[in-house]
Amino acid sequence: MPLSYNFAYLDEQSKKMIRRSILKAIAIPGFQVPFGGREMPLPYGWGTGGIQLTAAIIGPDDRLKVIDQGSDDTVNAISIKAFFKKTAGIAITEETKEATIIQTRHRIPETPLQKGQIMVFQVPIPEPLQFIEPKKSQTVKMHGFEEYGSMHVKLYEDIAKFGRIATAFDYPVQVHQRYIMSPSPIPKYDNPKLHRSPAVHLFGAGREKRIYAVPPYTDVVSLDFEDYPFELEKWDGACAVCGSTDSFLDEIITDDTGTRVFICSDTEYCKKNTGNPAP
Amino acid sequence: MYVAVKGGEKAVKNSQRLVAKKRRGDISVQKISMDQIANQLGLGVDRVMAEGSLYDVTAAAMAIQQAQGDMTEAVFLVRAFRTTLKRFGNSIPVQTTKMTAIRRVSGIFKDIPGGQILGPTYDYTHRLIEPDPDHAPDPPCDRHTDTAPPDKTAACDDISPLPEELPRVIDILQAQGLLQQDETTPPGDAAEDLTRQPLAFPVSRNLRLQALARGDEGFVLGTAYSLQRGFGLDRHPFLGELKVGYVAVRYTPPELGFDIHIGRIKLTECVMVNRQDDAVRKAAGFETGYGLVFGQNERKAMSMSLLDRSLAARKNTGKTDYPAQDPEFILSHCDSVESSGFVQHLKLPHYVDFQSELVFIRNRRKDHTPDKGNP
Amino acid sequence: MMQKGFDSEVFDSQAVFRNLLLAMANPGTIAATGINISCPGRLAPGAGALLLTLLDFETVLWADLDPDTPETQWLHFHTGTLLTHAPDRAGFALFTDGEKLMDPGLFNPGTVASPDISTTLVIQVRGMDQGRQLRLTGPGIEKDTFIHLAGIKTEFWENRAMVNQAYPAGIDMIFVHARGFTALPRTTKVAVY
Repeated sequence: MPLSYNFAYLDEQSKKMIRRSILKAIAIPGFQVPFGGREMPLPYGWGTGGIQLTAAIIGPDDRLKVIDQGSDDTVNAISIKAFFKKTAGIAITEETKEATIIQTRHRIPETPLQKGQIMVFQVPIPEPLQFIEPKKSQTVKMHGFEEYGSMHVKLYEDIAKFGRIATAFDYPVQVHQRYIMSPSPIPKYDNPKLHRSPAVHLFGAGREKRIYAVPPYTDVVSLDFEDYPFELEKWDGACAVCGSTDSFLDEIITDDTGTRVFICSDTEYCKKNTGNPAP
Repeated sequence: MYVAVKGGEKAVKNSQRLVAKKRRGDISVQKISMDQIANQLGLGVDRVMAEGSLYDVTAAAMAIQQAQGDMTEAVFLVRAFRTTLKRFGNSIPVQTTKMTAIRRVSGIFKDIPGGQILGPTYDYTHRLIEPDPDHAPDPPCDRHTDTAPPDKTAACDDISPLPEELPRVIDILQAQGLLQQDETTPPGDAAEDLTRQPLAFPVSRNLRLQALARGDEGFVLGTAYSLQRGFGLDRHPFLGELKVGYVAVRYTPPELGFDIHIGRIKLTECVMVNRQDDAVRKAAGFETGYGLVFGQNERKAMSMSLLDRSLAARKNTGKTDYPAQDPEFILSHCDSVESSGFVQHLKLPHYVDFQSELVFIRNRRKDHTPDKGNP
Repeated sequence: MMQKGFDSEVFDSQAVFRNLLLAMANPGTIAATGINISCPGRLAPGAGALLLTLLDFETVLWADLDPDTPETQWLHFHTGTLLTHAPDRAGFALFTDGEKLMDPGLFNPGTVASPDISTTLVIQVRGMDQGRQLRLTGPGIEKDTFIHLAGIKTEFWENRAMVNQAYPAGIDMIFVHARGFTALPRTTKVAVY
């Protein structure tokens, strides 16, 4: 018997359930809305939360950009693009400006986002308190009653031990002066891009079955202390391809003696900078 | 200069081509058919149906073939197929007392009403690999009668001469007032469904059993075993009853208003009995743990019933000294599709996060260089 | 005979939802459903389109209508939604007449641990160009924005502020006129001028 699937794979009833959760997520910025996450044909941990969000919002007129590690061409990004091309016939773009929906794993594009655009983040561990308190039954209460003391203690212990806050990615933020939220494993370099961004940011955790959101123009503050303010990563070099000094740089080992160069993690941004537009 | 950015799409396509080739193997060897898998790898099919939460022999056989016999991968394929199926409604709870049993044993009474039925089991075989399986003679398989279920996989189950109704062994304890049940679900309550709503703790018993029934056999077995080794049980459990057989599934279409028979499914049911003599709380007696899985899988049903008891015990005593007593620990980690996906996602590129770690470590080293001093 | 619903369940509901998502994310923006639909009785096409998009057999709807009106029958037929008389048990509530709005405190604002189990109100108003000027601030709004909702009493805004004081618990609202609508999540502060 030949099998057939709905537009964008998910059945309409599942989309409705996800859509209702998205609205609640937007109305309560940073709150993790539990949702009836479906089993997707891609493995958990590989973007099933993001894929479900995209499947629930995407329409035939959308232009979808998918990045992983900032790149349009990594294996996971390609696999997800192929999924939406196949199930929804969606137009794919690499241009951040052209995209109506940008699904991402681990980065926010360097090109500033615009009003009306929707960022979809793939989230492995939505709970920012997970490594302080692994039990969901407890963390739900901690969020409910704003019991965030333990998070500050953890960050402060870092300072006592390392002289600085040791979290380099998935750096916790406070949203709309209320919820502490995981920005997903983006480098902390990307955190300020969430603050009062004109775009809508949706976060989907498939395995943990949580959806959360940051609406446009919403305060997103990286946790810090007055005497130890939040600071961004800095590089000594510039991008070896485009010469950029204002983008997140990946380190590439070029030989077996450990010689390394730096290259923009955002491949589209790098191409733009070298005057070589994306195909 | 080396720039590692392009070529991903081609690489993915090549990998998919290679997996198709690997799946087929040497083309001079005959392909296996779905019928062969369903019949001759029946216990594998049962496991995939159980953990896939879908009673569909053909889909499970196709998944096993497509996954090259990797059962966890096959479960994943069945699950992803299952999510797309339209729901018509809930069937009426099956009556396992009306099970047409092919096997039924009890460890607590020598003889039981309806008798002990050994049926097909590996328990008393000697685990010697047969020297020449390709040429082993076929066993007689002539008991297939009209009363047997219509699917071919059931053809060799000797089910016709057995009694149609077997009383439950633990009803004997119940009748003597020795059984304590403190977690009964009121009849008529709608069954919850963890594939529609995420687990929230504390978890009701019906969701707990659902999670365990879908749970990875290895995980459920291993954590049940930890109970037996003292990590959560302080005395020996007993097998009240273990039953394998066919039950009728009935459904009431709302437009008809009366129930109809929609098919038969094979199930394994287990009731485990534990002594309970916490005199402070209540009178001494026995408590039970329950296991029910699709197909024939005694290892899984028994492990499930051990865990059902130990996870319920937490409610009674509030104690969770061991993993197998902790509902959140067991139920959040027993699903193979979740755990396999997340463990293996480490294969995905993480170089942006790792770069952040590198920057942190390099900066930290700079902090410690002698000329700068240690802040 | 039952009046038809969406032309295309898949594409109409996607279009409507996408507009709703952006409206909820940008409170006070006047959005349109983006589709054509005709609804029975007093049900505005905007409200009908939104409810067909959001409701299904897992939702519970309260409405300021009798259960056997063509409006509720149409909603039930096309979505399978359950209906309730108890406002505090509803996931969605429909007011076909915004002038007869009840205290939002009668609906379910959720709890601090589960603020998402709250009721969402869909309110039909007689216009979005008359009535007192409302100044909106909060997430989704760059600085401030101004709207008018005809026929909504000042007292209602006071009651709304009271319910939403329990934030994160609170009530989200969508105001509809004809095919247009605007959303006010619980985070939006309303000042009446």
